[in-house]
Amino acid sequence: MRFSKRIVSIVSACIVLFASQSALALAVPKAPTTSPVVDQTNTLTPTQLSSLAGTIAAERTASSNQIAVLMVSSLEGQSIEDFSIAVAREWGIGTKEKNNGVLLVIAKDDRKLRIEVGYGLEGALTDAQSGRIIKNDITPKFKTGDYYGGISSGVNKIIQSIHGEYVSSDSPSRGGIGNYADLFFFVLFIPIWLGSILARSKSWWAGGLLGILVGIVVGLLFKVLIMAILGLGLLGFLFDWVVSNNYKDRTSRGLSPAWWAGGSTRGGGSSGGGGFGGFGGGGFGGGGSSGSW
Amino acid sequence: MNKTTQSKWLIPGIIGGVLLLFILIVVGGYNGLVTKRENVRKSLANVQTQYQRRSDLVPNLVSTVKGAANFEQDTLTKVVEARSKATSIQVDPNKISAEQLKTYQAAQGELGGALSRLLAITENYPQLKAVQGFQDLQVQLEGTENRIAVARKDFNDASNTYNTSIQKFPTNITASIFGFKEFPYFQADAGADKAPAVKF
Repeated sequence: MRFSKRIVSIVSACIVLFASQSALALAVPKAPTTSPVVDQTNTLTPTQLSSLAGTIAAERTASSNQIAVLMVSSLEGQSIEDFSIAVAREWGIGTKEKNNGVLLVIAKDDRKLRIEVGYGLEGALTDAQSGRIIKNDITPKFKTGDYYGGISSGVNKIIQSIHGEYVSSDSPSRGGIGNYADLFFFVLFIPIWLGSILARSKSWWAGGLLGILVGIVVGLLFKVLIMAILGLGLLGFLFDWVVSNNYKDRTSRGLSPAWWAGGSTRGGGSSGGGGFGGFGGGGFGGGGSSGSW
Repeated sequence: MNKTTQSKWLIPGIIGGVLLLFILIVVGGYNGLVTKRENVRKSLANVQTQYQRRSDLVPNLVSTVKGAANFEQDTLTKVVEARSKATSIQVDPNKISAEQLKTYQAAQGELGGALSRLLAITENYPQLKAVQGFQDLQVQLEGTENRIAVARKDFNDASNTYNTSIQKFPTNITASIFGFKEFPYFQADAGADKAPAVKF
Protein backbone atom coordinates (compact mmCIF):
# COMPACT_ATOMS: atom_id res chain seq x y z
CA MET A 1 0.00 0.00 0.00
CA ARG A 2 2.86 2.34 0.77
CA PHE A 3 4.29 1.47 -2.60
CA SER A 4 1.15 2.45 -4.43
CA LYS A 5 1.14 5.74 -2.55
CA ARG A 6 4.60 6.35 -3.88
CA ILE A 7 3.49 5.71 -7.43
CA VAL A 8 0.69 8.19 -6.97
CA SER A 9 3.15 10.80 -5.72
CA ILE A 10 5.56 10.14 -8.60
CA VAL A 11 2.77 10.43 -11.13
CA SER A 12 1.48 13.63 -9.63
CA ALA A 13 5.02 15.05 -9.53
CA CYS A 14 5.29 14.32 -13.25
CA ILE A 15 2.02 16.07 -13.94
CA VAL A 16 3.17 19.12 -12.01
CA LEU A 17 6.44 19.10 -13.93
CA PHE A 18 4.73 18.99 -17.32
CA ALA A 19 2.29 21.66 -16.30
CA SER A 20 5.05 24.01 -15.17
CA GLN A 21 6.99 23.40 -18.37
CA SER A 22 4.11 24.40 -20.54
CA ALA A 23 3.43 27.45 -18.38
CA LEU A 24 6.96 28.68 -19.07
CA ALA A 25 6.41 28.62 -22.83
CA LEU A 26 6.19 31.91 -24.71
CA ALA A 27 2.78 33.31 -25.45
CA VAL A 28 2.92 32.84 -29.20
CA PRO A 29 -0.24 32.39 -31.29
CA LYS A 30 -1.15 28.84 -32.27
CA ALA A 31 -0.20 27.66 -35.74
CA PRO A 32 -3.00 28.52 -38.16
CA THR A 33 -4.93 25.70 -39.78
CA THR A 34 -6.97 27.50 -42.40
CA SER A 35 -4.66 30.06 -43.96
CA PRO A 36 -0.95 30.97 -43.77
CA VAL A 37 -1.91 34.63 -43.46
CA VAL A 38 -2.95 35.66 -39.96
CA ASP A 39 -4.11 39.19 -39.24
CA GLN A 40 -4.94 39.80 -35.60
CA THR A 41 -5.51 43.49 -36.17
CA ASN A 42 -8.33 43.18 -38.73
CA THR A 43 -6.49 45.55 -41.02
CA LEU A 44 -6.77 43.44 -44.15
CA THR A 45 -10.07 42.72 -45.88
CA PRO A 46 -11.14 39.10 -46.53
CA THR A 47 -10.44 39.58 -50.26
CA GLN A 48 -6.93 40.84 -49.53
CA LEU A 49 -6.32 37.96 -47.12
CA SER A 50 -7.37 35.35 -49.63
CA SER A 51 -5.39 37.02 -52.40
CA LEU A 52 -2.22 36.82 -50.27
CA ALA A 53 -3.01 33.23 -49.32
CA GLY A 54 -3.43 32.43 -53.01
CA THR A 55 -0.02 33.86 -53.92
CA ILE A 56 1.57 31.90 -51.08
CA ALA A 57 -0.22 28.69 -52.04
CA ALA A 58 0.91 28.99 -55.66
CA GLU A 59 4.53 29.32 -54.55
CA ARG A 60 4.12 26.33 -52.28
CA THR A 61 2.76 24.17 -55.09
CA ALA A 62 5.53 25.23 -57.43
CA SER A 63 8.55 25.04 -55.16
CA SER A 64 7.39 23.59 -51.80
CA ASN A 65 8.58 26.80 -50.11
CA GLN A 66 6.29 27.79 -47.26
CA ILE A 67 5.60 31.42 -46.43
CA ALA A 68 3.55 32.77 -43.53
CA VAL A 69 2.41 36.27 -42.63
CA LEU A 70 1.50 37.32 -39.11
CA MET A 71 0.23 40.75 -38.19
CA VAL A 72 -0.16 41.59 -34.50
CA SER A 73 -1.01 44.87 -32.87
CA SER A 74 1.64 45.04 -30.15
CA LEU A 75 4.71 43.08 -29.03
CA GLU A 76 4.07 44.11 -25.43
CA GLY A 77 7.65 45.05 -24.80
CA GLN A 78 9.21 41.97 -26.33
CA SER A 79 11.80 42.42 -29.07
CA ILE A 80 10.57 41.59 -32.56
CA GLU A 81 13.52 39.22 -33.06
CA ASP A 82 12.60 37.13 -30.01
CA PHE A 83 8.92 37.07 -30.90
CA SER A 84 9.49 36.29 -34.55
CA ILE A 85 11.76 33.28 -33.99
CA ALA A 86 9.45 31.93 -31.31
CA VAL A 87 6.51 32.05 -33.73
CA ALA A 88 8.51 30.64 -36.65
CA ARG A 89 9.73 27.70 -34.58
CA GLU A 90 6.37 27.08 -32.94
CA TRP A 91 4.59 27.01 -36.29
CA GLY A 92 7.39 25.05 -37.95
CA ILE A 93 7.15 26.89 -41.26
CA GLY A 94 8.86 25.03 -44.10
CA THR A 95 9.38 21.33 -44.59
CA LYS A 96 11.38 19.30 -42.13
CA GLU A 97 13.84 18.17 -44.80
CA LYS A 98 14.44 21.50 -46.55
CA ASN A 99 13.78 24.00 -43.74
CA ASN A 100 12.41 26.27 -46.46
CA GLY A 101 10.10 28.58 -44.55
CA VAL A 102 9.82 32.35 -44.40
CA LEU A 103 7.83 34.33 -41.87
CA LEU A 104 6.87 37.96 -42.26
CA VAL A 105 5.91 39.45 -38.88
CA ILE A 106 4.40 42.89 -38.55
CA ALA A 107 3.75 44.60 -35.22
CA LYS A 108 1.38 47.33 -36.32
CA ASP A 109 1.28 49.61 -33.28
CA ASP A 110 5.00 49.20 -32.56
CA ARG A 111 5.69 50.03 -36.21
CA LYS A 112 8.17 47.18 -36.43
CA LEU A 113 8.50 44.29 -38.82
CA ARG A 114 10.80 41.36 -39.49
CA ILE A 115 11.43 38.80 -42.19
CA GLU A 116 12.49 35.54 -40.52
CA VAL A 117 14.26 33.16 -42.91
CA GLY A 118 14.50 29.40 -42.41
CA TYR A 119 17.85 27.57 -42.47
CA GLY A 120 17.31 26.23 -45.96
CA LEU A 121 16.66 29.59 -47.56
CA GLU A 122 19.38 31.67 -45.92
CA GLY A 123 21.46 31.38 -49.09
CA ALA A 124 18.67 32.47 -51.43
CA LEU A 125 17.23 35.18 -49.22
CA THR A 126 20.19 36.70 -47.41
CA ASP A 127 19.98 39.15 -44.53
CA ALA A 128 21.01 41.94 -46.88
CA GLN A 129 18.27 41.01 -49.36
CA SER A 130 15.64 40.80 -46.62
CA GLY A 131 16.82 44.19 -45.42
CA ARG A 132 16.40 45.65 -48.89
CA ILE A 133 12.93 44.17 -49.28
CA ILE A 134 11.92 45.76 -45.98
CA LYS A 135 13.52 49.08 -46.79
CA ASN A 136 12.62 49.43 -50.48
CA ASP A 137 9.37 47.51 -50.89
CA ILE A 138 7.49 47.25 -47.61
CA THR A 139 8.13 50.23 -45.35
CA PRO A 140 7.56 52.97 -47.99
CA LYS A 141 4.00 51.65 -48.42
CA PHE A 142 3.47 51.14 -44.69
CA LYS A 143 4.39 54.79 -44.17
CA THR A 144 1.45 55.83 -46.32
CA GLY A 145 -0.86 53.43 -44.46
CA ASP A 146 -1.05 50.96 -47.35
CA TYR A 147 -0.59 47.77 -45.35
CA TYR A 148 -1.90 45.42 -48.01
CA GLY A 149 0.32 46.98 -50.68
CA GLY A 150 3.40 46.66 -48.45
CA ILE A 151 2.74 43.07 -47.46
CA SER A 152 1.80 42.06 -50.98
CA SER A 153 4.90 43.50 -52.65
CA GLY A 154 7.03 42.15 -49.77
CA VAL A 155 5.65 38.64 -50.27
CA ASN A 156 6.16 38.91 -54.04
CA LYS A 157 9.78 40.02 -53.58
CA ILE A 158 10.38 37.19 -51.09
CA ILE A 159 9.01 34.72 -53.65
CA GLN A 160 11.23 36.21 -56.35
CA SER A 161 14.28 35.59 -54.18
CA ILE A 162 13.48 32.08 -53.02
CA HIS A 163 11.82 30.78 -56.17
CA GLY A 164 14.05 28.25 -57.86
CA GLU A 165 15.91 27.34 -54.69
CA TYR A 166 13.84 24.18 -54.37
CA VAL A 167 11.63 22.19 -56.67
CA SER A 168 8.45 20.69 -55.33
CA SER A 169 9.03 16.94 -55.19
CA ASP A 170 5.58 15.61 -54.40
CA SER A 171 2.15 16.81 -53.48
CA PRO A 172 2.51 19.41 -50.74
CA SER A 173 -0.56 18.26 -48.82
CA ARG A 174 1.64 16.05 -46.64
CA GLY A 175 1.65 18.61 -43.87
CA GLY A 176 1.40 18.46 -40.11
CA ILE A 177 -2.36 18.01 -40.14
CA GLY A 178 -2.17 14.79 -42.17
CA ASN A 179 0.24 13.31 -39.66
CA TYR A 180 -2.03 14.17 -36.77
CA ALA A 181 -4.91 12.50 -38.55
CA ASP A 182 -2.84 9.35 -38.93
CA LEU A 183 -1.92 9.40 -35.27
CA PHE A 184 -5.53 9.84 -34.27
CA PHE A 185 -6.47 6.93 -36.49
CA PHE A 186 -3.92 4.64 -34.86
CA VAL A 187 -4.86 5.65 -31.34
CA LEU A 188 -8.44 4.74 -32.15
CA PHE A 189 -7.77 1.62 -34.16
CA ILE A 190 -5.13 -0.24 -32.15
CA PRO A 191 -7.18 -0.76 -28.95
CA ILE A 192 -10.06 -2.18 -31.03
CA TRP A 193 -7.76 -4.56 -32.82
CA LEU A 194 -6.05 -5.64 -29.61
CA GLY A 195 -9.41 -6.01 -27.92
CA SER A 196 -10.58 -8.48 -30.54
CA ILE A 197 -7.45 -10.62 -30.30
CA LEU A 198 -7.13 -10.61 -26.52
CA ALA A 199 -10.82 -11.31 -25.97
CA ARG A 200 -10.66 -14.43 -28.12
CA SER A 201 -7.42 -15.72 -26.60
CA LYS A 202 -7.94 -18.19 -23.77
CA SER A 203 -5.55 -16.44 -21.45
CA TRP A 204 -6.49 -13.55 -19.21
CA TRP A 205 -2.86 -12.62 -18.58
CA ALA A 206 -1.45 -12.16 -22.11
CA GLY A 207 -2.53 -8.54 -22.10
CA GLY A 208 -0.50 -7.93 -18.97
CA LEU A 209 2.56 -9.51 -20.55
CA LEU A 210 2.04 -7.47 -23.70
CA GLY A 211 1.66 -4.36 -21.56
CA ILE A 212 4.96 -5.07 -19.82
CA LEU A 213 6.71 -5.58 -23.16
CA VAL A 214 5.27 -2.38 -24.56
CA GLY A 215 6.18 -0.73 -21.24
CA ILE A 216 9.83 -1.74 -21.68
CA VAL A 217 9.91 -0.31 -25.19
CA VAL A 218 8.11 2.88 -24.21
CA GLY A 219 10.22 3.19 -21.05
CA LEU A 220 13.43 2.91 -23.05
CA LEU A 221 12.21 5.47 -25.53
CA PHE A 222 11.00 8.03 -23.04
CA LYS A 223 13.20 7.23 -20.05
CA VAL A 224 10.37 6.46 -17.63
CA LEU A 225 11.08 2.76 -17.43
CA ILE A 226 9.67 1.64 -14.11
CA MET A 227 6.51 3.64 -14.41
CA ALA A 228 5.96 2.52 -17.98
CA ILE A 229 6.40 -1.17 -17.14
CA LEU A 230 4.18 -1.06 -14.08
CA GLY A 231 1.60 1.23 -15.60
CA LEU A 232 1.26 -0.43 -18.99
CA GLY A 233 1.58 -3.93 -17.56
CA LEU A 234 -1.27 -3.26 -15.16
CA LEU A 235 -3.30 -1.56 -17.86
CA GLY A 236 -2.75 -4.46 -20.26
CA PHE A 237 -3.72 -6.97 -17.63
CA LEU A 238 -6.90 -5.10 -16.75
CA PHE A 239 -7.76 -4.61 -20.39
CA ASP A 240 -7.37 -8.29 -21.21
CA TRP A 241 -9.28 -9.31 -18.10
CA VAL A 242 -12.22 -7.06 -18.96
CA VAL A 243 -12.44 -7.98 -22.63
CA SER A 244 -11.92 -11.71 -21.98
CA ASN A 245 -14.66 -11.72 -19.36
CA ASN A 246 -16.98 -9.81 -21.63
CA TYR A 247 -16.33 -12.19 -24.52
CA LYS A 248 -16.85 -15.28 -22.33
CA ASP A 249 -19.93 -13.78 -20.79
CA ARG A 250 -21.55 -12.91 -24.09
CA THR A 251 -20.65 -16.16 -25.86
CA SER A 252 -21.81 -18.26 -22.92
CA ARG A 253 -25.15 -16.47 -23.00
CA GLY A 254 -25.44 -17.30 -26.68
CA LEU A 255 -25.08 -13.73 -27.79
CA SER A 256 -22.73 -12.70 -30.55
CA PRO A 257 -19.51 -11.13 -29.33
CA ALA A 258 -19.48 -7.38 -28.82
CA TRP A 259 -18.82 -5.35 -31.99
CA TRP A 260 -15.20 -4.68 -31.12
CA ALA A 261 -14.44 -8.38 -30.74
CA GLY A 262 -16.30 -9.40 -33.88
CA GLY A 263 -13.43 -9.03 -36.28
CA SER A 264 -15.09 -6.68 -38.73
CA THR A 265 -13.20 -3.47 -38.32
CA ARG A 266 -14.00 -0.38 -40.18
CA GLY A 267 -10.67 0.81 -41.54
CA GLY A 268 -10.52 3.47 -44.14
CA GLY A 269 -7.77 5.94 -44.86
CA SER A 270 -7.85 9.43 -43.52
CA SER A 271 -6.74 12.25 -45.76
CA GLY A 272 -4.98 15.32 -44.48
CA GLY A 273 -7.80 17.73 -43.71
CA GLY A 274 -8.78 20.96 -45.40
CA GLY A 275 -7.21 24.38 -45.17
CA PHE A 276 -3.82 25.00 -46.68
CA GLY A 277 -2.19 21.80 -45.40
CA GLY A 278 -0.40 23.16 -42.35
CA PHE A 279 3.32 23.70 -42.00
CA GLY A 280 5.95 21.00 -42.12
CA GLY A 281 8.25 21.56 -39.14
CA GLY A 282 10.99 23.65 -40.74
CA GLY A 283 13.84 24.98 -38.60
CA PHE A 284 15.02 28.55 -38.03
CA GLY A 285 18.31 29.94 -36.76
CA GLY A 286 17.75 33.67 -36.62
CA GLY A 287 18.33 34.51 -40.29
CA GLY A 288 16.59 37.47 -41.86
CA SER A 289 16.28 41.14 -41.11
CA SER A 290 14.24 43.57 -39.06
CA GLY A 291 13.07 47.07 -39.72
CA SER A 292 10.67 49.79 -38.67
CA TRP A 293 8.65 52.50 -40.32
CA MET B 1 9.69 -30.53 -0.80
CA ASN B 2 7.72 -28.10 -2.82
CA LYS B 3 8.13 -25.42 -0.21
CA THR B 4 11.91 -25.78 -0.06
CA THR B 5 12.37 -25.45 -3.83
CA GLN B 6 10.24 -22.36 -3.71
CA SER B 7 12.31 -20.67 -1.01
CA LYS B 8 15.49 -21.83 -2.70
CA TRP B 9 14.61 -19.86 -5.84
CA LEU B 10 12.94 -16.93 -4.16
CA ILE B 11 16.04 -14.96 -3.17
CA PRO B 12 18.06 -15.49 -6.40
CA GLY B 13 14.90 -14.64 -8.31
CA ILE B 14 14.47 -11.34 -6.51
CA ILE B 15 18.15 -10.49 -6.88
CA GLY B 16 18.05 -11.39 -10.57
CA GLY B 17 14.92 -9.33 -11.09
CA VAL B 18 16.35 -6.28 -9.35
CA LEU B 19 19.59 -6.65 -11.30
CA LEU B 20 17.71 -6.88 -14.59
CA LEU B 21 15.65 -3.83 -13.73
CA PHE B 22 18.79 -1.93 -12.77
CA ILE B 23 20.48 -2.82 -16.06
CA LEU B 24 17.40 -1.79 -18.00
CA ILE B 25 17.32 1.57 -16.23
CA VAL B 26 21.01 2.25 -16.86
CA VAL B 27 20.86 1.20 -20.51
CA GLY B 28 17.60 3.04 -21.07
CA GLY B 29 19.06 6.30 -19.78
CA TYR B 30 22.33 5.95 -21.67
CA ASN B 31 21.06 6.52 -25.20
CA GLY B 32 19.03 9.52 -24.13
CA LEU B 33 22.05 11.10 -22.47
CA VAL B 34 24.23 10.52 -25.53
CA THR B 35 21.63 12.21 -27.73
CA LYS B 36 21.40 15.17 -25.39
CA ARG B 37 25.19 15.47 -25.14
CA GLU B 38 25.53 15.45 -28.91
CA ASN B 39 22.86 18.10 -29.07
CA VAL B 40 24.91 20.34 -26.76
CA ARG B 41 28.03 19.81 -28.88
CA LYS B 42 26.12 20.50 -32.07
CA SER B 43 24.72 23.74 -30.69
CA LEU B 44 28.16 24.83 -29.53
CA ALA B 45 29.47 24.21 -33.04
CA ASN B 46 26.62 26.35 -34.32
CA VAL B 47 27.52 29.17 -31.91
CA GLN B 48 31.11 29.06 -33.16
CA THR B 49 29.95 29.07 -36.78
CA GLN B 50 27.93 32.22 -36.17
CA TYR B 51 30.79 33.98 -34.39
CA GLN B 52 33.06 32.92 -37.25
CA ARG B 53 30.57 34.39 -39.66
CA ARG B 54 30.85 37.71 -37.86
CA SER B 55 34.64 37.55 -37.99
CA ASP B 56 34.45 36.89 -41.72
CA LEU B 57 32.48 40.08 -42.22
CA VAL B 58 35.14 42.21 -40.53
CA PRO B 59 37.76 42.45 -43.37
CA ASN B 60 35.04 43.52 -45.77
CA LEU B 61 33.69 46.06 -43.32
CA VAL B 62 37.14 47.45 -42.59
CA SER B 63 38.01 47.87 -46.25
CA THR B 64 34.67 49.56 -46.97
CA VAL B 65 35.11 51.96 -44.06
CA LYS B 66 38.74 52.66 -45.01
CA GLY B 67 37.49 54.02 -48.31
CA ALA B 68 35.81 56.86 -46.45
CA ALA B 69 38.07 59.90 -46.30
CA ASN B 70 40.31 60.12 -43.21
CA PHE B 71 38.45 57.61 -41.09
CA GLU B 72 39.86 57.23 -37.59
CA GLN B 73 42.68 54.73 -37.93
CA ASP B 74 42.72 53.90 -34.24
CA THR B 75 39.19 52.44 -34.19
CA LEU B 76 39.90 50.30 -37.25
CA THR B 77 43.10 48.92 -35.78
CA LYS B 78 41.27 47.95 -32.60
CA VAL B 79 38.66 46.03 -34.59
CA VAL B 80 41.32 44.17 -36.57
CA GLU B 81 43.23 43.31 -33.41
CA ALA B 82 40.13 42.13 -31.59
CA ARG B 83 39.23 39.99 -34.58
CA SER B 84 42.57 38.21 -34.77
CA LYS B 85 42.44 37.57 -31.05
CA ALA B 86 38.88 36.26 -31.21
CA THR B 87 39.55 33.91 -34.11
CA SER B 88 42.57 32.40 -32.32
CA ILE B 89 40.42 31.09 -29.46
CA GLN B 90 38.19 28.09 -30.04
CA VAL B 91 36.28 25.79 -27.71
CA ASP B 92 36.86 22.06 -28.05
CA PRO B 93 33.36 20.57 -28.44
CA ASN B 94 34.49 17.28 -26.87
CA LYS B 95 35.38 18.82 -23.54
CA ILE B 96 33.50 22.04 -23.10
CA SER B 97 34.89 23.51 -19.90
CA ALA B 98 33.61 26.54 -18.04
CA GLU B 99 36.98 28.40 -18.33
CA GLN B 100 37.23 27.68 -22.04
CA LEU B 101 33.78 29.04 -22.64
CA LYS B 102 34.51 32.10 -20.51
CA THR B 103 37.73 32.98 -22.37
CA TYR B 104 35.99 32.43 -25.68
CA GLN B 105 33.06 34.60 -24.71
CA ALA B 106 35.38 37.35 -23.44
CA ALA B 107 37.39 37.43 -26.68
CA GLN B 108 34.25 37.51 -28.80
CA GLY B 109 32.80 40.17 -26.50
CA GLU B 110 35.83 42.34 -27.14
CA LEU B 111 35.32 42.07 -30.89
CA GLY B 112 31.63 42.85 -30.44
CA GLY B 113 32.49 45.94 -28.42
CA ALA B 114 35.07 47.16 -30.96
CA LEU B 115 32.56 46.63 -33.77
CA SER B 116 29.82 48.57 -32.04
CA ARG B 117 32.23 51.46 -31.39
CA LEU B 118 33.18 51.41 -35.07
CA LEU B 119 29.54 51.50 -36.14
CA ALA B 120 28.81 54.29 -33.70
CA ILE B 121 31.58 56.39 -35.23
CA THR B 122 30.37 55.74 -38.79
CA GLU B 123 27.31 57.77 -37.83
CA ASN B 124 29.53 60.82 -38.33
CA TYR B 125 30.30 59.91 -41.93
CA PRO B 126 27.22 60.58 -44.06
CA GLN B 127 29.06 59.82 -47.32
CA LEU B 128 29.85 56.34 -45.97
CA LYS B 129 26.29 55.69 -44.91
CA ALA B 130 25.11 56.43 -48.42
CA VAL B 131 27.15 53.57 -49.92
CA GLN B 132 24.89 50.56 -50.68
CA GLY B 133 27.73 48.13 -49.90
CA PHE B 134 28.08 49.60 -46.43
CA GLN B 135 24.35 49.47 -45.82
CA ASP B 136 24.29 45.79 -46.77
CA LEU B 137 27.22 45.10 -44.48
CA GLN B 138 25.41 46.78 -41.63
CA VAL B 139 22.35 44.61 -42.22
CA GLN B 140 24.51 41.49 -42.45
CA LEU B 141 26.27 42.39 -39.24
CA GLU B 142 22.98 42.98 -37.52
CA GLY B 143 21.66 39.65 -38.82
CA THR B 144 24.76 37.88 -37.60
CA GLU B 145 24.42 39.37 -34.14
CA ASN B 146 20.87 38.04 -34.08
CA ARG B 147 21.99 34.59 -35.18
CA ILE B 148 24.65 34.60 -32.48
CA ALA B 149 22.01 35.46 -29.89
CA VAL B 150 19.75 32.65 -31.14
CA ALA B 151 22.59 30.13 -31.29
CA ARG B 152 23.72 31.02 -27.78
CA LYS B 153 20.23 30.66 -26.42
CA ASP B 154 19.91 27.28 -28.17
CA PHE B 155 23.19 26.19 -26.64
CA ASN B 156 22.07 27.22 -23.16
CA ASP B 157 18.76 25.40 -23.67
CA ALA B 158 20.51 22.23 -24.85
CA SER B 159 22.98 22.49 -21.98
CA ASN B 160 20.14 22.98 -19.52
CA THR B 161 18.20 19.95 -20.81
CA TYR B 162 21.31 17.81 -20.56
CA ASN B 163 22.38 19.11 -17.15
CA THR B 164 18.90 18.54 -15.77
CA SER B 165 18.75 14.97 -16.95
CA ILE B 166 22.16 14.00 -15.53
CA GLN B 167 20.94 15.17 -12.14
CA LYS B 168 17.52 13.58 -12.26
CA PHE B 169 16.66 10.07 -11.17
CA PRO B 170 17.13 7.53 -12.70
CA THR B 171 19.44 8.94 -15.41
CA ASN B 172 21.79 10.31 -12.72
CA ILE B 173 22.82 6.67 -12.06
CA THR B 174 23.71 6.21 -15.71
CA ALA B 175 25.48 9.56 -15.78
CA SER B 176 27.68 8.74 -12.80
CA ILE B 177 28.54 5.26 -14.10
CA PHE B 178 29.58 6.49 -17.55
CA GLY B 179 31.05 9.79 -16.41
CA PHE B 180 28.70 12.30 -18.02
CA LYS B 181 29.82 15.74 -16.82
CA GLU B 182 27.89 18.95 -16.50
CA PHE B 183 28.19 21.54 -19.31
CA PRO B 184 28.64 25.28 -18.66
CA TYR B 185 26.40 28.09 -19.92
CA PHE B 186 26.99 31.30 -21.80
CA GLN B 187 26.65 34.08 -19.26
CA ALA B 188 24.47 37.11 -19.78
CA ASP B 189 26.49 39.97 -21.18
CA ALA B 190 27.70 42.80 -19.02
CA GLY B 191 27.23 45.32 -21.80
CA ALA B 192 30.46 44.55 -23.66
CA ASP B 193 28.94 42.00 -26.00
CA LYS B 194 25.74 43.86 -26.78
CA ALA B 195 24.64 43.78 -30.36
CA PRO B 196 25.80 46.96 -32.06
CA ALA B 197 22.93 49.39 -32.24
CA VAL B 198 22.52 49.83 -35.98
CA LYS B 199 20.33 52.75 -36.91
CA PHE B 200 18.93 53.60 -40.30
